[in-house]
Amino acid sequence: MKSKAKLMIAGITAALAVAAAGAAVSAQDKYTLKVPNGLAFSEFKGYEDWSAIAVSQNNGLLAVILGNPAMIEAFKAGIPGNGKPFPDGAKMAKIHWNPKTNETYPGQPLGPNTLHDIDFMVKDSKRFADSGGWGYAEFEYDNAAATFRPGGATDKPPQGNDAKCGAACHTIVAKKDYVFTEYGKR
Amino acid sequence: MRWSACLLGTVVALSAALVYLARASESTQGAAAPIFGVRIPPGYRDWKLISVAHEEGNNNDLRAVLGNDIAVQAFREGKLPFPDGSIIARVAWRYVPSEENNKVFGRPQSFVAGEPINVQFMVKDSKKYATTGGWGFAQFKDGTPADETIHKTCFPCHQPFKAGDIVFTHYSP
Repeated sequence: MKSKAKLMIAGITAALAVAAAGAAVSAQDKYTLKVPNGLAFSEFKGYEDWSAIAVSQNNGLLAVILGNPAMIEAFKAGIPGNGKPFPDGAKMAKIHWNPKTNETYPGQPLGPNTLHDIDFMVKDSKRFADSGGWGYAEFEYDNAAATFRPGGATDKPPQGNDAKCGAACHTIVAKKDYVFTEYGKR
Repeated sequence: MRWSACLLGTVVALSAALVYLARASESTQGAAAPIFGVRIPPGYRDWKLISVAHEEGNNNDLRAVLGNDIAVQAFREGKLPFPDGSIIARVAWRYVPSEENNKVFGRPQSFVAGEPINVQFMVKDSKKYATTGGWGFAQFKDGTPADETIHKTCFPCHQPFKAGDIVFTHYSP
């Protein structure tokens, strides 16, 4: 009887440990993620609090483009229209959402439903000298598991084990220091 | 003696001119909206993001909903009703296709924020705006407030959404 009770306690303890481990896994710390040989999520810590550069819609996804203070100040100073490049340390975050229509709202607006992915850009003219001075990273979001993962070869855009996933496309706007988004005027 | 009097006179004149200029820019920047008396809050364009939206139809716009620190904290904590001092800003731009971006994608799939349309504000003050759910409303275009007729439409449209303290926008995931 005594050993049975012991066994039971051991069983409960084991079950609790598994549950705790599960909880730890589900509450992922996104800031531990890193693209192999590329950028770390932690390089963009605090991006949720950055100011908005503009909003957009691409292939049905709704997006906001945020900038760190160095990026916002650069835009306000007239970069890149004045021919000057963004300063080292300037960072951007583009958040994509799967949209949904809010039928009961006036005008039936399309708003964010679930998070789709987050793309980052960071300016460092020395570190990323071979990709126009910008480092790029893409992290895909799994809504069911509530976890991020670094984008891979089959994602859009395809991401290799480097910080260049945006370089090929952004070359078309080399004259704007490789930045597509324009600061939304007010 | 004469020289110092002259210098003093110049300083006084310059100071007066600066004060005048400061007041003039305040009055153009700070026109109050009718009914609620809301003025454009300084620095709102740098506020944190609450959410985005795209409205088709007549508006055909792209929007960003921004909040001051009190409003954003309330959104993040799910605190309802919003505390006094909360301000929510809704900025809208024309929804325009981006030829530049579409060149990259090879098909017309990219839309960006074009010319600004207007900016709207909701200001929480449960005493001052007690008759309109605790919120004051305002709409501006290029710094000029919209007329009283437009401002009369704000509260009736927001009023049904009592569950969200008459705020439509949810904090984006």
